[in-house]
Amino acid sequence: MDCLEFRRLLGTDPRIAGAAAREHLESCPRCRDAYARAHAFEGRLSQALAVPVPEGLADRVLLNQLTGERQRRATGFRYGWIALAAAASLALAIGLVQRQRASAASIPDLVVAHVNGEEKPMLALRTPVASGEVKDAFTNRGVHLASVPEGVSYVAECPVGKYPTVHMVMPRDDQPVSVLYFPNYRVAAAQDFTRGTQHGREVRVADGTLVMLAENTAEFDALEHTWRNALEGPAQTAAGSR
Amino acid sequence: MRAHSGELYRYAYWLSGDSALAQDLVQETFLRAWRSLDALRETVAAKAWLTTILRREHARLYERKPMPTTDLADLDISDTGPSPERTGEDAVMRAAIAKLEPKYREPLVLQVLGGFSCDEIARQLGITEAAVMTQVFRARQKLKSMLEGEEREAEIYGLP
Repeated sequence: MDCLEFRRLLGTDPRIAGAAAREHLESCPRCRDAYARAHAFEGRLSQALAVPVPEGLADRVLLNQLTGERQRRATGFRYGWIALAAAASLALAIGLVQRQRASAASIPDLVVAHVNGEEKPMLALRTPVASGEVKDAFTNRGVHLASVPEGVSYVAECPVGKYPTVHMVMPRDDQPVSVLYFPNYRVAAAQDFTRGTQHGREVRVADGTLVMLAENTAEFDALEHTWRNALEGPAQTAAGSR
Repeated sequence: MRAHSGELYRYAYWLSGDSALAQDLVQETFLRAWRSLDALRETVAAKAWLTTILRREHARLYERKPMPTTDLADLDISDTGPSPERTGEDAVMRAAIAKLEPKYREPLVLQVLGGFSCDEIARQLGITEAAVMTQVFRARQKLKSMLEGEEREAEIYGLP
């Protein structure tokens, strides 16, 4: 894949997923910059499109539906009970999907879905980005970094679920580690988690939550220390705040 | 149903540009869905199925009603409030999206909000996949042009 094809693909569907596109992304710094810009734009776009849903909409829809069916039955609608049964069946069927989605609403599950979805190609990146890019991403999220950790190969301001985040990839010797920072969201308690073959950790750091995801936990302690230094400064890190 | 009602409402909002109409469309969509339950072959296809019903209802009831638009210069993007940059950015972006022609806005909304592939969008809209690809590309180009004055990338990359 050449730059022209890649840019065309990027403008058509920024969820770059093909192997050829990933290879090109890894080898071409200019297209990587273009990808980062496109991704930032997509974040703005998806956030803007997600207009607030009126409170109680689903309840009103269900209530109106059931009320309407009862009225129809009362006025002699012969198959009213079938419609009611159908309504219940549809609610049940759609409810199954809803429960599946609801179970994916936790921070760990949102991160796993995000990292393994459109962001998966980024795990292959190994060339470090400029420290200014990392600093700018945090600044844009309203977070000041006391220092910028080295070894970030990818950084983007990603919306994850309803949360604005800074999403990074930090390649280590044997694996890439996805590191996401959720500004102004404070997890109640630090925890390690496992989803399939992936292991993660969510921990409160400064005024937000740091989430790491990788195939094993070997780098988590060191990276947590590094990001505490960067986000809280060395003094707070030495005192320990996990 | 709650997850679907929210997604459908947003889709309806970007079709009609009006919150009240969007809520009516969601209501009507579920009404029709309940009456046509046997058309739902598999639960995983519920979103696409409901989206198709909603599109048809919008076309039947409201398509002639133009989308209300706001001049970018008239937006309040003051620097006060909890996250002014986010609020201001969203308002500017929403105004720009509202200015897109429906043929550009609709496939873009289906792709970004609905998560549908170009192929799936093509089937829903009854156009070719190539046309969808061109429209979503041009939709982004027009938005960037409105927001940032970026150069016309479609011409550079040789899209029709």
